[in-house]
Amino acid sequence: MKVFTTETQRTQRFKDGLATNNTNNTNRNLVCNSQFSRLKKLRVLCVSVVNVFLIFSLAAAQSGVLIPTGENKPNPKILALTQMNVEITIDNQRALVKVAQIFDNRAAQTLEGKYVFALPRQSSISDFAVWDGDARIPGVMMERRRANRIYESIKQAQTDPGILQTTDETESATGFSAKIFPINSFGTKRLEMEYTEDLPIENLASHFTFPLKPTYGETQTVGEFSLKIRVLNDFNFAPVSLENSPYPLQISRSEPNEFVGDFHAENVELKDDFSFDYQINAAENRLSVVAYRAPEQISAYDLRDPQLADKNADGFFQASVVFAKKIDETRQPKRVVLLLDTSLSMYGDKLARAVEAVDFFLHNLAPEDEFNLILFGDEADILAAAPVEASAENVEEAIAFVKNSYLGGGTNLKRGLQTAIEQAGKFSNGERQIVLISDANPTLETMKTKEIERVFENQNVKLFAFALGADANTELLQNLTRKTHGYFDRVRETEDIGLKLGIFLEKIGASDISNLRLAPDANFYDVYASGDHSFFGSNVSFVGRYKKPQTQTVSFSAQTGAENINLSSEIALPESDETHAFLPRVWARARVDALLLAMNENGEREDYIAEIIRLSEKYKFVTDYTAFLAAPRALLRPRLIQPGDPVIRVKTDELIKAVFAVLPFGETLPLTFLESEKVWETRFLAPVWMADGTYKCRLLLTDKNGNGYSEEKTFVVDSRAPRVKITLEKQTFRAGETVNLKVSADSDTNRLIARIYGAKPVQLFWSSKEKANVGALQIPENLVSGKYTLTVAAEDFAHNQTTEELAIEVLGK
Amino acid sequence: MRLAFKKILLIGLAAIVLYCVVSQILRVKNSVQKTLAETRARQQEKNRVPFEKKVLTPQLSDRIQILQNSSATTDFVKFRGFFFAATGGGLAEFSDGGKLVKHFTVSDGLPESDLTALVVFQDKLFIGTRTKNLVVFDGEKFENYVFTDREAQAVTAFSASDGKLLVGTLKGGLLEFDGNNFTEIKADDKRIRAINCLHKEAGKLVVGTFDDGLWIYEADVWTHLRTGEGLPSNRVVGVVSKDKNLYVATDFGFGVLQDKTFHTLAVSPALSGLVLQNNQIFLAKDNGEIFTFDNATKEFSGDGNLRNARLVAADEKLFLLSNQGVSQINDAKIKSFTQPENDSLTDNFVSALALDERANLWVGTFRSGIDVFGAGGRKLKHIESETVREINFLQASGETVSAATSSGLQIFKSDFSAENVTRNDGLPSNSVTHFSGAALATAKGLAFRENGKIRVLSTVQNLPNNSVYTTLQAGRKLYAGTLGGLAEIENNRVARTFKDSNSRLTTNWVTALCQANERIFIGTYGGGVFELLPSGEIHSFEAETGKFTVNPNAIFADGERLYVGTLTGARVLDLRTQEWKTIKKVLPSETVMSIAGDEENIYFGTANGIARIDKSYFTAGESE
Repeated sequence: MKVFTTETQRTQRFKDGLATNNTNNTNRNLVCNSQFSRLKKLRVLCVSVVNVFLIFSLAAAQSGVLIPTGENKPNPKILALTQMNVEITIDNQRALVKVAQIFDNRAAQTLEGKYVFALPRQSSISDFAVWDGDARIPGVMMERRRANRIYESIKQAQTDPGILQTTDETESATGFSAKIFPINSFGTKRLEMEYTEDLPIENLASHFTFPLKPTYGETQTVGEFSLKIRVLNDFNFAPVSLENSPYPLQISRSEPNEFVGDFHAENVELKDDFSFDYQINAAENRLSVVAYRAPEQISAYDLRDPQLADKNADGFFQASVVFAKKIDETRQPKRVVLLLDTSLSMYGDKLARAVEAVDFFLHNLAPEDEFNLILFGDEADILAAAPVEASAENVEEAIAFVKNSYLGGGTNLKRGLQTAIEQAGKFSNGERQIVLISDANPTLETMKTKEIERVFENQNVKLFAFALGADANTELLQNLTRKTHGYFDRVRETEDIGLKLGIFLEKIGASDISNLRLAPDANFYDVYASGDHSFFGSNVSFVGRYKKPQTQTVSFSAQTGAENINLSSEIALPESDETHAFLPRVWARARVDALLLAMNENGEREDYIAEIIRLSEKYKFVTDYTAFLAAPRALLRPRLIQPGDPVIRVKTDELIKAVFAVLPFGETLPLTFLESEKVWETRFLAPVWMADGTYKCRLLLTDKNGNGYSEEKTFVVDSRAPRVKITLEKQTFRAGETVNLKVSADSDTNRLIARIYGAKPVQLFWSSKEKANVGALQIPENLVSGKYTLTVAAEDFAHNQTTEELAIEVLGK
Repeated sequence: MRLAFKKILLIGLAAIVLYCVVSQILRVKNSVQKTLAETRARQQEKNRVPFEKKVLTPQLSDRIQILQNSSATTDFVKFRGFFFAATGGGLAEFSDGGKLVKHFTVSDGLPESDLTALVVFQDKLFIGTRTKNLVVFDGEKFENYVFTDREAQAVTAFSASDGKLLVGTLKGGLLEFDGNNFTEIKADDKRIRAINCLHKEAGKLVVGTFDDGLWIYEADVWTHLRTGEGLPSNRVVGVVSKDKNLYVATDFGFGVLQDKTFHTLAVSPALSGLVLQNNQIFLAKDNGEIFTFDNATKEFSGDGNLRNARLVAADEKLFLLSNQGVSQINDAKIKSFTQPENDSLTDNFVSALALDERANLWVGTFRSGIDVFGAGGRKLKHIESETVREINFLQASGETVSAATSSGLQIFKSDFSAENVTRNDGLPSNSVTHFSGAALATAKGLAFRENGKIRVLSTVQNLPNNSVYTTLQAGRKLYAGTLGGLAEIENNRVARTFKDSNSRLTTNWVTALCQANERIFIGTYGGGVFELLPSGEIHSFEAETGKFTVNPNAIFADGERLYVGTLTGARVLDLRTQEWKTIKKVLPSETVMSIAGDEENIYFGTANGIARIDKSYFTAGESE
């Protein structure tokens, strides 16, 4: 038998089957048939309404798949996607995506399914609805405490609710999942989903992606697929690379400020994402204002709460500024202290991404740049006593310094920053920058945000923070970068960081634009800016409300170095205009964020909380104080079981008093409740004949009132590190030459990175033409003759990692 | 007269015609019957299951002692005036009063200790096993029936009636035994898999499965019923007939079959079975709670603190079997039938072994903490808590014994008080698999305890993989076995790695390391044992031993031999002769999880108990 001997805390994403049954078993007497039938009907009624929860992106995550309960991937023989309509509107960088899908039940029985949708990062669901025959049943957003109360009361009534919070236990929320029931035999089920996404402008370009490609598993085929995209912008723009799209658009409108295209086809295999890139044509800095004013819509749900039904006739506006690229700017040498968090909280994928970032960052410095590297945990280790030139040797020495370091200890962020500031003071001249790569969760000396912020007082240094991990303290880092006029970005530990790093790197040493101000006006109130400072090639926007419809001048001012930027525009604030319908929700989100920030700095206020709940409910976004109704009863962890992970851990609500697992290989095990961790756990043995793959496990739960629940979960056993084979055309290369790599790897490999001394590491991607993972590694021009090791690091979906090496000979010039 | 003649003629003719018709009908009937019989015979021949029968010889020797718990009972029958219990630790024979008469182990000839089912058929006791198919006991000796054309995986259920024995298996299908031959019974020509229970009554066969609902065979027709037909769950745990109704228990509730549809009568998670006793239906849950059912279920007995509990009727009495032995149920009272085994193992799955300086044997179990046995064999202590449950490795050092567990490193003093090192102290994971000095193998990297601080090496620092299974300090070098290969570490830096791509290591998953007489041996998961030569080369023993799986840290050397625990017994290398031997039959299980030794004995911790073997047993000619 295959024996596993350790446990895991890994919080991977997971496929929750939700075949929940619910019955009554008061006083340990089992319920009789008639009562069970009645309860079953109640359950059906309740679940028909909506049962929604957010989870981390799933193994088979893609846009809108409906997986029959009991299966772990879509099965078109049972539930076929017959129609999919996607409507995308990008109005002045605010994308609104509406998706409608119709699934056919091809089975002779009523089915239950799980709807899975992989949301793009930084997007938020604004609506979700299930159609039951002719009736559209929308999801409901409500105050979290109230949702909890309702959850309890429905549970007492023996129906089957759940509660949706902002995140699942992985503390991340990039997936959306909903249980769908009933799907009548040979009937259809229509599902609707709506989400919004803010699209930033970087280097005067903007990028939109609609996820269709599965991140893992088989592609989905749709009987009839139509996609319509409409892009509106007050700034002139031009689409980029439309001709290579796997979904070629029929362009019906292509104006400087508006683009409309659509795609329609039958029997489409959804194997690629839909992307739309466009370039903003801004030869000079520009200000533009859009506005919205319309009678407020009060829904039937809002009428239940008098506060929600309160009307406010004032209009909404958004003033956007795009800063043109500085063409004449000459590259100034960069003076950078790189501060890498090597504390224990960075363990695993975070550290792997952090080292990748350091590697990328250092290899993109020019020889005239200067840098130093500090590794910090509970102490700070410095690469060199003083900053060094970014020569190839120094860069490789810095990489080796990282690789020879240890992971461990707590996080003394304050000490790390102080050391970095000291080092920054040693630069010979020019602007000084600190690049912090961390999850910014301080555990030592001080955890107080304000104390940490204080280390930058009276320091002429900019902080550029690259936050890693779903649990990163983004608030702290955003505050620090805002105060130091730096730049902030974040990535999840499992995300591809290449693109983000590129943009991040460009900001370092670039001139920033500060003191961004929209001139105060008596007609405006509650105006919120998207940021305190910006960069050339980027944008900033202000959203606010206006009282009187009138024509007036809007003025904007900013500063870059000694130079002032002043822009103004005359705008007619309309009496009635519904064109930019996204504005009320954008403003509400900005207002909520401002209130949350104020409470974070000055403590909670009841009136703020009430307003946050009111706005969140009205405009449907999840906050710390609001939740969608519904959720799974139990979360099974880990989803991905490595050889060292032999345990099943189940997190349940507090009412559950017994959990029993029915494992797929003929074993049944009761789970033990671990009081210290508040989880149910059992260790299991996978028989030796059990091959790697996806397996189902049934959980039988009993609550304190004797109610029984049955839930089916899946987990993946992955006991093998990915196998990698490197193929090169030759073994000897000249300095400056490109090494074309062909690498074959196990099918569950999701990340391959190739490295060689002195060169920028490259990520390899699958080529259907070559039937291998390919990439081109550029050997540095100045590399001296000798034998070098080419390494390819691979990581699979279970985060098993392996490195393969190959010796090559380089002939220097 | 003529009229009479005509009548006679007509009658005669009619008789001839009738005769012809009848004989024709009979001929056709006979022909059809013959064809049917031939078809059946052909089908039966086609479905015949080849098997080997062999007499199992006892392995009795005073040099071998088996230590195992026989409380965890899976089945219970009366045979030749005595009660017999199938347990996870062999076969136990009891008197009518519940006194243990004999405990049969592998030493008595059983092919394995994990027994799954019992039935009396043709005055013999038929015993189902986890991996060794069928065992038959005639009161004196054991015989083994091994199916040669299939991997049955486990015999899971029996039903004997009408001179036929039905044998349900996990993967080998449903088999019928007529005393001489086995024939597979298929449902619509398909194998019935994962059989959980069998029920046979006049003209009807009912087969309950682990995950595929219920099969019913009646009037030559198979019917398949699942949750779609109203079954509360597809895992069927028991079937009974009462008043012409078929009652079926599943692990989520039970129901009655009416018009090919089940009507749920009660819902109960973790229901483990039902029996009919004195025309009363009894239901049990896995935790030992018992209910009765008339028109509604009613709580009957049981405190719910048991595991793997199930009801059986034997000798017209009702018994509750569980991990704590056998109890008899009488008038809503539960009374222990078998006596608790106080000086036995708490759990037979022995994942770690160590001998401390007082010659106490420390036994780490897979899920149930640690037992400490004194030199005389008496159990001194059982240690089990939230943090001391899942034991991976034990090692004594001076007055302390340290345990690598899934809840961190536990360091026990002589009074059994413990110091705990966990993630709170800086470990990357609580899952500690092994340790050598300051180095701790964890599921998330190799940790070093230095000056009260913990530092971690991971793949970032070139460790082949973060899942570290084993460590070995050999002089100044530390070796770490990982899922992705072996790392050689000097001065706390990875100096070299050994993998299938850069060495002769054919399997990267390194599970065990051991130094014996300056030689370094590497155990792998699937590739067998390798040796790291002083030259840095890897030598494979595959030519001598073939490939096999070495269980994590199941390796031990005593200067004379190297002992390796595998999934298929123990491998022993004589370090002088370089000869490999395999030890299997004398072990309570072929899955050897841990090995320890002292001057005289070697202890093999297996999935079903411990075998203590005198070292003299390993001398030439004694091993298998």
